[in-house]
Amino acid sequence: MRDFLLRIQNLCLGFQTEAGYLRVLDNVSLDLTPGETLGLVGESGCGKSVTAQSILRLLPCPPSRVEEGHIWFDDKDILKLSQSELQDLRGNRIGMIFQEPMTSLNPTMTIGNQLAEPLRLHRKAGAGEARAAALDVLKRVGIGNAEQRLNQYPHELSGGLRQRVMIAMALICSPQMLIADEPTTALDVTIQAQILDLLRTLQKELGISILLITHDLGVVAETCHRVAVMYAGRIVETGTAVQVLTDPQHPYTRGLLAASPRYAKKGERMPAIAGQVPPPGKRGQGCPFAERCPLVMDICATMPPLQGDEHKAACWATKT
Amino acid sequence: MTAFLEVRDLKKQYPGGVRAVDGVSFDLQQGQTLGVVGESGCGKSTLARLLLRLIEPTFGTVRLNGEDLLALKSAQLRERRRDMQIVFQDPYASLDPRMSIGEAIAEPLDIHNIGNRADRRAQVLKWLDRVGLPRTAAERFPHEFSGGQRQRIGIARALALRPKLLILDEPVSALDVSIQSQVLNLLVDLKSEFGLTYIFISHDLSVVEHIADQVAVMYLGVIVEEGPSQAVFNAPQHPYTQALISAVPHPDPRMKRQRMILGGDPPNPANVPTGCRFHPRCFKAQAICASMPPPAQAMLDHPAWCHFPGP
Repeated sequence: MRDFLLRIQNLCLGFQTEAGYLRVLDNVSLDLTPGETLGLVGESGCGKSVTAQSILRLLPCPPSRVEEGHIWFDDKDILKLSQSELQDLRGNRIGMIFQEPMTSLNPTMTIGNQLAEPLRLHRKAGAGEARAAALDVLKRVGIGNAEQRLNQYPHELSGGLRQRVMIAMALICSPQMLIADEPTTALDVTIQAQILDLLRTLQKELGISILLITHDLGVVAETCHRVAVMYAGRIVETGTAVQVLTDPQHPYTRGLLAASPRYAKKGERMPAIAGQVPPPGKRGQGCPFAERCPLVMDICATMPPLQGDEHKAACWATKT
Repeated sequence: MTAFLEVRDLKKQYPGGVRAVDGVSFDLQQGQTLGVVGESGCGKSTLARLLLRLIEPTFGTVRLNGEDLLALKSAQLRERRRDMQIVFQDPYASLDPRMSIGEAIAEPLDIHNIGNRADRRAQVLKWLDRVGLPRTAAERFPHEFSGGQRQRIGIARALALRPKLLILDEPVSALDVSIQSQVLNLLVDLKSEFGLTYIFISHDLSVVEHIADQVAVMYLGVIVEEGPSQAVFNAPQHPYTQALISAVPHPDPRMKRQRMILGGDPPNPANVPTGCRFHPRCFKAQAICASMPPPAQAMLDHPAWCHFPGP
């Protein structure tokens, strides 16, 4: 029995819209053990960011609504926490990094004040103590001239530096877990390499658990121990990074890997997945991938369960 | 033989000493695809706009089929634009939200007074078929379409005038990977069907490697390495190209490879380093690199602008 830091069980969540109630997460289950990096991958609209936000209960309710399920963090169900217990969780025990550092940093606050804020709120730290901690964490995330940076504003920093500041802010209260939602998507590839390297180092040094949300299978391969692949609000495959990326069982995972331009032969057509992801509300009772699937059978009109031992796939055509 | 597109020493400077494009030269033969790669701020999108004179160059020449585009008066330039069109990255921002898809595709035909209403209508339907959209799309509006479909609309609109040269500025960067490959396949098909010449601008090396015949790697307003796609990707000579290629994450976790992680940030075009522009981030830099701009060194079969090219 592994011990879990985070365990999401059968989470079903949706939004009340003008067009009625739309379910966007369907029976999502995930585990994260201490010191592990789990990659949550999928394309736009698959529900990966909603999953991440539901962990910190960042989704406004209404319009969002949890139909059923549990999110266990350290033996407590996050879905049942009071507002003050939630405050203790956010930024303190679970840190979060967003995709776009410019829109998630406050443009009117200096870097020093922003970094100190979580410490002052959660730990009631004094100004001197907070400043020392801010300097320390800036050095840890590889920012030179830390003294000078404390007095600068976000617009004075490059995209890569801003993302380092975001990571520093997420780490300053020494959380047990970090949620990183597309942390490198807005960055250039050479800067992405620096940030991924930093995340790997931090995880080794601090033993922190990371939930990394990304659409890039390459990023998963370089940083994650385990992977969960999402499609249309469901987990369709999960396993170790090596299992899922080198021996994919679900036809969607296979299609995604094949469509990566890396694997396509020059001058030949790229293997594409025909069609598009069905939008919420147009996902029927059966396998959501059925209409795009090369292996579709009659039984696919019934929802396939996620089955297997460590390497699981939700597909009738797969025997794991 | 004169090239189909001949660009010489093209420059764009902005007030404040910003040298966005700082002396770019290349030749492109008809029917070829030139991939232009580089990171934010390297000048690749400015280059695209300079070639079409959507932005006026400060210096240099651009010849299309031997004709100097920079010498054209505005009426002549407008006429010439029939031959060269552009597809932008964000198909939503580049389509008028209040114009139906049919009107958007017909607009270039209207502007150039091509055909009557019925002809244009027939053209719209033909292009919708050709890019894989239903004919009913003509009466609908941009917000009703997904990103991949909007990019197909952008392509149809650009091709309606039957241009010879198509400039694609990050055409698949905003798309999910399964949709990206559909659009890349469409571009490859259209190119051979209509004998198009492409300039394909992207920050994504694997996409460029797949689609381009020739590649130019840009850094801070200049080309640092150029050559046949296979040569550049298999045997990169410039340290920047090498670092760029090694930075792309590979989706096989078992692959252990030598990663070169460049220090520092992408540089600022308002403050160009002396000598070789890349030297402050370069792992091979020596004294000469800070003082002398590197000459083109032809290693193997393609040039790199570096004092110490090679593996």
